[in-house]
Amino acid sequence: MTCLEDILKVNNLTVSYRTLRGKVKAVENVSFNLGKGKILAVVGETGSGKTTVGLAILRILPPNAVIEKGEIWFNGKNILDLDEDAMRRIRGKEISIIFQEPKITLNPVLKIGEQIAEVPIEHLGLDKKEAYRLARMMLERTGVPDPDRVMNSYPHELSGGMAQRVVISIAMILRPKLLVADEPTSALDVSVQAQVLDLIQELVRETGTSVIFITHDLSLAAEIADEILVMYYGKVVEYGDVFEVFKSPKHPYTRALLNAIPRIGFRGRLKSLEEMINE
Amino acid sequence: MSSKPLVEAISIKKYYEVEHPRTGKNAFLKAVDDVSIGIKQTETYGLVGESGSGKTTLGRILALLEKPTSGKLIYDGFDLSSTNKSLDYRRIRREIQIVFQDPYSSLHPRKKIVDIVGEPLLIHEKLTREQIENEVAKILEIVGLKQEHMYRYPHEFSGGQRQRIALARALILKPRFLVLDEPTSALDVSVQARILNLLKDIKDRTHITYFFISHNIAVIDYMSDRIGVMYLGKIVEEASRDNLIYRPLHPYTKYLLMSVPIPDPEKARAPDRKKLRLKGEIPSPIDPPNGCRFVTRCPFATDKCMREEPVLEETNGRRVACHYWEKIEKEFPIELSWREF
Repeated sequence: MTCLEDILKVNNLTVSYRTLRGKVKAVENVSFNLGKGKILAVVGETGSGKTTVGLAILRILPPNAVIEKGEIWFNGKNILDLDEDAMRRIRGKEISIIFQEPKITLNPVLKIGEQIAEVPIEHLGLDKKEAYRLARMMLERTGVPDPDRVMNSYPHELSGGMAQRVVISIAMILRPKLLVADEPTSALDVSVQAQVLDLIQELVRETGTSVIFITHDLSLAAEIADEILVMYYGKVVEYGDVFEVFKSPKHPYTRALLNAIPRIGFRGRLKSLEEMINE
Repeated sequence: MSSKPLVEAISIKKYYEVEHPRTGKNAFLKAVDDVSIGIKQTETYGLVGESGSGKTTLGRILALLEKPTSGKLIYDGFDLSSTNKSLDYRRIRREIQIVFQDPYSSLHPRKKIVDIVGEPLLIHEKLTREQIENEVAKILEIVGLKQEHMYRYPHEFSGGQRQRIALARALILKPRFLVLDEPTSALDVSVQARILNLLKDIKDRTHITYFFISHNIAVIDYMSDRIGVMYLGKIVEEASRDNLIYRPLHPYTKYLLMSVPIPDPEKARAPDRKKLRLKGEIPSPIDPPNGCRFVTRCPFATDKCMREEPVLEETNGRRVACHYWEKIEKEFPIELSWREF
């Protein structure tokens, strides 16, 4: 799936964590490419290493993590070779990240307007007035109903859905080439989740941003991804076009995951991993 | 299935006194606001709702963990508001148990499994240590754990195993009514499937009655015989599982079903699906809207909906609280093709 327009190329990424009981491999030989404007869903359960992949791309792994080997090519450069200064110029401008809990991501003592405007001030050197104007526009674009009020609010005054729209505004305000979205809708109610998924898709279409969408939920991959990569205990077990993978999953783990999801209207018995192995 | 309800809640209200977040004045958070439901013997009643709907509060009231502000709770013919502290209450108390969502905070970290699971026996029955260990061994096997697990501590177990331990503790007194409050929401899907199947198997063997609470309507559909939909402290619709899933009447139920992500890219991307999005978010239960609770998000709302609160009316063995459900049913038939498997 390599093509000229690939924005990101990950080769044999291997990451370990140093723990009291020795080194634990979290990610092993993970490779993939991501085209311009494409959405790649990285799907896996707890401990699959999916979040570690996202953190490695932004080089924000916890201090006990060790990148054993591999390359992350972005914009013609191997991210793993860059120094911290260069990384800081990339983060928030060329590559952004959003997390599951918007209220933990946001600074509780700063007003929303300041937190969004900070990004263009820092990265583009805009003056305050211009940056605030841009911030307000961004809130409007992400569907925040009363942007003037929200600009002047603190994070605790917002609902979960509103807070996630603010986080998306911060991440997308400079139209980054790559967005890493780590379970961005998992803390939201389903009706709000659907709204946020729509929003991410619309923004991607407008800006040409490529997305790594990290999730435990295969259904979300079916909803928005172009390609899907399934991880199990640190390894890639399945990688391909989302329609292909759902139509004919090749790896038994992917099949097991698909059989374990309760679907509305399904009247049979769900099959767990163990029941499938026993058959 | 007998038609007499095992548990009957009549006009249950639960108000909490809180400080209003904007004005700072005293206000009431109406978590449960005039809910009446009956749960039949041996059925699984599924309660679905978004965060802030009051579903957990209702579950805690039915599990006798919380007293309602007003309303009546009748269990197996006994009015629990009047038989307080009598012998009946003590007997009933052991027949009703609950399993919580988070198996990491619901198990005492410094107690061994045998003491966690066996504690209800210690309280309700005078058994020797040996008898308790025998009972714990039996129940651990039923929930899919091993006898030798009883001498370990909670931290030695995975999330799924912990939820089995919580289930064992709830089942050891052989309850007739079990409240399951999001029992699989903290678990991975493959583990969730095993716990859901285990709960189904236990029900088939023991004729226990479940009150199953979840935000996930697909899980509720999988588990339930009858389903209630809760929104801002009210039941807005209640029907048999098939009626609710295949022929929802309340606009909230319709839109909720449409919002659920589908694990199939072809069906998920059907062109007309995106038009059916619920706008906005659930309002705060401190400032619920006047009239119909759903009025702020309902695409069919009229002036009448802002003035008059619809009652939960009975029709063809189901209940729905909407002024216009018949009209909507005619003009907005829900497209079901994407849900057929």
